[in-house]
Amino acid sequence: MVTLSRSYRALALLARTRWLHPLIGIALATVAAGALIWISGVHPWSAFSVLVDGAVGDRHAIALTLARTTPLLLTGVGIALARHCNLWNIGGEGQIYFGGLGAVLVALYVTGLPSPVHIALAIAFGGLLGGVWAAIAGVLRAWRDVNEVLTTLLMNFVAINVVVMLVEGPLRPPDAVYARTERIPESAQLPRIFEGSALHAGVFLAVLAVVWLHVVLGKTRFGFEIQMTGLNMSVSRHSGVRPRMVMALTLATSGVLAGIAGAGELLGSQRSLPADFSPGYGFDAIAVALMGLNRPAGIVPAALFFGGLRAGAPTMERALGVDTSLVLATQGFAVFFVIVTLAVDWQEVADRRLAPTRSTEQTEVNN
Amino acid sequence: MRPPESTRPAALARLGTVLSLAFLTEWLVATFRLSMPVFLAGLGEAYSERAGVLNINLEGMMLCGAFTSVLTALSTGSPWLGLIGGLLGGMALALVHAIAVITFKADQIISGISLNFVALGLTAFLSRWILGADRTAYAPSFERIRVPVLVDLPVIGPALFNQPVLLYVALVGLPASIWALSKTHFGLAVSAVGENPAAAESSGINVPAIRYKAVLICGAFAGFGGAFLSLGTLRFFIDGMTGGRGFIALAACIFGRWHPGGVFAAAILFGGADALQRRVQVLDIGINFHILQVVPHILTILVLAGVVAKRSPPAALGIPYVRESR
Repeated sequence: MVTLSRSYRALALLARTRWLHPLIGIALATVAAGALIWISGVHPWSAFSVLVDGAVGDRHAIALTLARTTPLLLTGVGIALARHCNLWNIGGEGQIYFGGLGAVLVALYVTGLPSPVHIALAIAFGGLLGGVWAAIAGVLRAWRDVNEVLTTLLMNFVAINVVVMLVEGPLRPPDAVYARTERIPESAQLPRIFEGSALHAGVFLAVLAVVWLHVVLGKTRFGFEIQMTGLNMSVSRHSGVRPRMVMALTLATSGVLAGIAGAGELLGSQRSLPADFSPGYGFDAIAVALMGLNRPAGIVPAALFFGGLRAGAPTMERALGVDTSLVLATQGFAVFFVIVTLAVDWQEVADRRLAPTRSTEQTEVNN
Repeated sequence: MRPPESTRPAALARLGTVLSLAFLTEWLVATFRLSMPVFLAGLGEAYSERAGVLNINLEGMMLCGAFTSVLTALSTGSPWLGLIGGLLGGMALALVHAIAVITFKADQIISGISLNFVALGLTAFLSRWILGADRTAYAPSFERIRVPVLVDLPVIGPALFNQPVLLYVALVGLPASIWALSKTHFGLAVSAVGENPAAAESSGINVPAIRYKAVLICGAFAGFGGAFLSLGTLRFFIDGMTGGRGFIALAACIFGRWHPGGVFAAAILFGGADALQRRVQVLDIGINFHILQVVPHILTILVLAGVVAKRSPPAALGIPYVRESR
């Protein structure tokens, strides 16, 4: 009988359980972030404890984390949906800006509606603008074969500049000191969860989106067509799916979700549209979808993790002078380490390095 | 923001200067200078993609190069050492990408995207920590080369014969790359590896080694592009100063059919658009600055939409190479 070494069993376990890999990625990214904090002259432990305190220290901190998680979840769900169609939506940031723009236009200029209708209309128009914006890239990808990574990314710059132009120009109140629109009326504001909290009712939309993703992927024809097109375009065509239409619709839907994220952020959190509307939620959401392996059950913890980073990092910066740009680097590290651990066939590594039946020397010779 | 009606005739008069020779001359000078970062990064991408490796992290490598070149130039006092620092900065990130996608066969797009985050965050973080208050200090700059007589040629004289020396160094990349990619053993191996890695391997080419070299060359060129942007233009580093140029360079590589000459032409096109919008900004003829600013981005999308369908990328682009087990 062969005895398996402990490290062999650990590697074999790693090979079988893919959900462990994101955790390893986060652990490695934390080490990298800790090293950066340490070389910049701050003790990593105190930095992390301040960060955790800022993210989950009291009910206001938790509310802030959930408020930051909300746009990440909505946009992340959209990006994950696109991934199931083998498409990339790197344009979440621009779509969030357009979502905020659509929402603020309805909130400010459509008046006399009862509050629920006003809110619903503002969110719907925000979603529409985000969706139309993403659909441009979708149509170009589907019918002109233009790489959507490039188009969606470049369209971020266009969308943000369009919004900044409007906010500095026609949408700016004449007496305003800063470049931002007027505050939206009460009837369009998404209510806060408790008095003085950062968290607003938009979080329910985010939860709804996650459930929606689960249902769409598992139970609907559209979800089936998306995954089929993602796997193989020609097979899907032969089985009666119109892959081009599916691709365009998928990217558009992805944009609608990002647009809703922007609308929720505007109606619930910011309540007026500034020139620097989103601090990069659209980019964070890419990391959320990737870390969550594009699955609803993975996206939720990933969004909470990055939402917590977003909530806690400013506290860390104020208390210890650790710059928030560290968050961006940490996200990059986390995703990078996850894809590398996912790409390695750990069973094969285990068999090669720690094979139970052969001696180590023999293995060396064979390789 | 439209100017009030009364200034309209003045704006139109300024528009008239668009047609003047002085304007054309200035435009051409700026076109060359603004094209170089896109050209260099796009040229690097041509090496990498020809070998079958997609480098979405062109933007990140440019940022690394922009940062390390300024850092090196400030600490050594030499712009030339700064340039070398920039090349190494780009190569460092390229090496990480290469390890992930060649050795570990990770997804090339995801690795590229995540490394863009890393570069953006890391350069912002490190520039605050290392440079601190020196962040806006000017790095030593390159001298200008002025070719007597030729510089007095109308319109093209100043653009071609009175530019910073770094621009001429960058231009050497064009003939050198045409030669390297089409005439040398290495260049042919790169194409073989990108089109059919299995066949290349059976004819004795070490596929992973060629891919590593191509990706590192790409990193060096992208780092050069970043250095051109920081050291050669602004002379200091700002967070995210590449502003999407890495992605425009990716488009230039596709638009230029993965050929150095094509990449150069595409880069001149984008640089020309960028230079034109900057000149128009200065003229202040009532077109909004924010709209002008994204002209190169819109042009890139239009160009891709117009031509890309007729392009065929290297057959093995984006696919990790797994050796057949024997």
